[in-house]
Amino acid sequence: MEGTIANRLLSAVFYPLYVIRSVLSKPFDSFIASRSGPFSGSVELNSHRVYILPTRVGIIFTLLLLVLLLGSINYTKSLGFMLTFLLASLGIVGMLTTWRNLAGLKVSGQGASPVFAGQDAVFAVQLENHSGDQRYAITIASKDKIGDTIDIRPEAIGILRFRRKTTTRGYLDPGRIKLMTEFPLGLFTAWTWVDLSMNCLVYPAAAAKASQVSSSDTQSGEEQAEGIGLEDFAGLRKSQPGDSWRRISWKAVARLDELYSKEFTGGQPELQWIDWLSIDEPSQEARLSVMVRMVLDAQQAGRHYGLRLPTVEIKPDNGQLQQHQCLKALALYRLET
Amino acid sequence: MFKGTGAVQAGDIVDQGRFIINTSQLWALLLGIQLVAAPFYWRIPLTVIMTVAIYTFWVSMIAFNRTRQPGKFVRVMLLLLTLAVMTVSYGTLLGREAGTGFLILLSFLKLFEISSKRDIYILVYLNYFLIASNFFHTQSPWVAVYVFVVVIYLTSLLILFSDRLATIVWQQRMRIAARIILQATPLMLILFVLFPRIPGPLWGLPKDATTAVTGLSEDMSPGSMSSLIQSDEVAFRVRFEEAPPPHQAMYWRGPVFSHYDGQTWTAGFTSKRAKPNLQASANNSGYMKYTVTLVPHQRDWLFALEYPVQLENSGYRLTREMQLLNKRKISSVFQYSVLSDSQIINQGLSEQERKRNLHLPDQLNPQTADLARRWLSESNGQTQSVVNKALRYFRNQPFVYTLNPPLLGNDAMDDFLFESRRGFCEHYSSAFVYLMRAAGIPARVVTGYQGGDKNPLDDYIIVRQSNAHAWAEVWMEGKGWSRVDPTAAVSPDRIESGIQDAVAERDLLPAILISENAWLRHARYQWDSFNNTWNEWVVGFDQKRQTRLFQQLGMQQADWQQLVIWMVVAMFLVGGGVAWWVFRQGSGKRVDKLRRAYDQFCTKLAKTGSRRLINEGPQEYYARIRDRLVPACADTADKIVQQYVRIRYGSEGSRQNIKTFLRAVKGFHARV
Repeated sequence: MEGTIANRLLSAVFYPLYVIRSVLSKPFDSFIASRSGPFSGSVELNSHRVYILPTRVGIIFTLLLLVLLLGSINYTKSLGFMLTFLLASLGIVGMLTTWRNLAGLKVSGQGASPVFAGQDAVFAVQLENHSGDQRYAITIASKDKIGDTIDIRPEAIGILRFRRKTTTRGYLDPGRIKLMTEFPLGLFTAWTWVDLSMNCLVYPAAAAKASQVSSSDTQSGEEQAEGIGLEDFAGLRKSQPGDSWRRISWKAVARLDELYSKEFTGGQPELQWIDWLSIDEPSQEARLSVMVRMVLDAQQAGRHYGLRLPTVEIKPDNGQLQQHQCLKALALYRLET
Repeated sequence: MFKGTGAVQAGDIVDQGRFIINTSQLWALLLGIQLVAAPFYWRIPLTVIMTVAIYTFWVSMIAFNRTRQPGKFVRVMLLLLTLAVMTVSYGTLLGREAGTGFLILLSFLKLFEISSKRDIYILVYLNYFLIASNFFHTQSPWVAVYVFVVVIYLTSLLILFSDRLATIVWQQRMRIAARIILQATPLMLILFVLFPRIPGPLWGLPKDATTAVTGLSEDMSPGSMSSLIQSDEVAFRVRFEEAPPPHQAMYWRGPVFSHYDGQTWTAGFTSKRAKPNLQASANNSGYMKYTVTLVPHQRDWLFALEYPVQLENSGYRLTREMQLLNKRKISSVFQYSVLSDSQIINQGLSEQERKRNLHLPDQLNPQTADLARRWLSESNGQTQSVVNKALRYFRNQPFVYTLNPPLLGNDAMDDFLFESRRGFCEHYSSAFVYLMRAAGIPARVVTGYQGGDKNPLDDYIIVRQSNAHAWAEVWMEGKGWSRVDPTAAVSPDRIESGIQDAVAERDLLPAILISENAWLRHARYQWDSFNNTWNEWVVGFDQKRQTRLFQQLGMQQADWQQLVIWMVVAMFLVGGGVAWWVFRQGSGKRVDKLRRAYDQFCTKLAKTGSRRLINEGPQEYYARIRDRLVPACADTADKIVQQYVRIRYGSEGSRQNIKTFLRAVKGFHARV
């Protein structure tokens, strides 16, 4: 009950500030946009890019100073003046320190790993601290969503991540990101806007179940049980990412403590064309989703698969790279200009 | 809301929108609030202290994880309890004493319901405010030091809560806070000296804005002076422009009492508008100019040598009784300059005043009245002769000057003059005035201070409460009001050298007066000298001081506009210096000769078109760019890199090796 009254009072006090902010926000935004990038590579946060303003509690602190000043005048307390001025100077030094905590850092975008639509894209931003003092409590935010907070040791690197929701396939550009800090006193917040021209590739969301897989045909046309087409065991090689777990030699794992895949020669691996035309779905996006599911399933099963889209064809292969290329083609289908 | 330390992960401050404060942060807050509240424990009522103790215990239990955060109902109950305690202890929430008590209780109460980071900040601000309210009571250097330390601690709390990952240990936190305060100090000094001082008050002071302190009071009865004598507190300090007058000539005039009711002397009726009727002396040989730094005594009177004639400004006035009064009560250290003239003649005696200064309570002290009438008839109405007879009486009868006089009965004067004959200055002065009035001579009691202790280290006079004195003033035709000090007749030592040589009960006197140890005396004078400087330049720094300081610096008319201009200019200049200080932090940390040379080497290698990345080790970087160097150059560089690695990470860090390395770097040129 106490809290709500206090909150209402505070809101009343701050209301004029909000009005001012909303009036000023448009020209201010375009001013910031003019100097926040986009940058490729790294950008140093110099004095043109780090802005600083008092926080809400900073404004309350100013009110406290006023009360102290009036009290000191009224009661003619010289030491009261001294404390008031000490706190005011503390505010000034706090402002400089907060600004300094962010300024001079070098920022570069580290991009984001591809995700499926609907998943969160996780972007990484690298901060390099070339100075001899530690930077504290630097927070990243994108579109008002707060990301990581980190400290960066002297002459060291810190990685800050932030998440963005994805909804549609294609490239997701997080746009301007905000780096900010309130350290050390919380009276001021220093921030910067940078557009690091980062992208995250968003694959189409995979359909829940590839119900149409049955209607798609395997190229060989022969009825083959899974994995049988690989006839002669040729030996073992170290597993690589993307190898099907079905080919892992579990005996070798037990002996050697490392993953080995069985290699076969002779015979044909099962071959599958994932073909746009063979999929029976009304909408383009649904069709893409089904194809994504098929790519994933084929990769999972260890089949060699190829992709046929009206615009592009990818030759059959298996492996992480193949999967990525297929999914990328699906993600960007009819998007690229 | 509260979690054990173990449960809180780094960066876990905000958990689903709920604010979490961990136990170590709670302890830190509790300590801060206790540090702020500690000086008040001497002043606030016991009920409030007990409530604070209960709250502290409760919060400690929460911090120890012994109990949970109380629910909303309990918190409302606690608020009601707090209000009840306030009602019982003060009967109000307003006023200075009640206000600070209430704020202390509230800040403890707030510990039970911290729900956002803003709550904590506001709690810390509240405590900044509370610690400032110590200055209502005293502005001594000790309090200043304590407040300064607590401010550093409170600032470290702000750091604690903006250090979102909680990576800073408390020692480092204190260090950062101290550094920030240190950086703020130059700016604070500028504001302190240059911010235009507005003389207060801006609005009325609350009734309890002042506190009782030792000092002269508005009346005088037996015992009131002798209790003062035992205090070594400083009443005021005086700096004379020329040599100070001798001890026996320093009568610091304070309250004047004209009315006697048989027990107590009071001022009686005084006209506020009546001006003194002074007759200037022929020459100015009795002029004394000096500045008094008065310790706050919560009264409106000022002290000046008899008799003040010229005042520095109109903030204070001279009454008909030659008493110096300020407009308001003195609640802060106060400085004023006065010109006194010891030779001036005070002719102020109207018919009403004559009547008032002859008035005695009816039917009391018959023996005393008889004695006075006898003297009058023996001296043919000669005032001077009656005065002399009285003084001779005090000198010749076995009177004793003592701090422990016996109690007097209803006829106090009779008891004193004819039976006990043991007394202190208030007894002698009041008995003398009584005798004079009984003999038909207008007379009154003057209280104030007599003498003063010269600080040999810094040439000023210290007047302590132990210098408190009471004397008499009689009306003499032609000479006006004249000072007569009957105590001098009984105990000349009191007037000539001070109380310490005059009374038998030396052990009752303040230690500083009787100490024989030269070193101790010296240390005490040193301390007093520091106190005086503190009072003159820090506590007493007001508009007058400010103006005077600027006049000394050559600016004759330092009005507030000029001060503001100077303040802004100085803030920008010094602020620039402070900014430089803040920004170059840490850059001095890697001034290790070896490292600097290696950095130089890397700068030279950057000619290859690639700088060393911050995360690259010496060998890694070199491996990356080696191929870009001309082969001959690469051979030299190979050696330098190996040398560096061996010195830095191996065991070959001898001075000779480092020297060779430095030379090698100096001579190296990268050729691509």
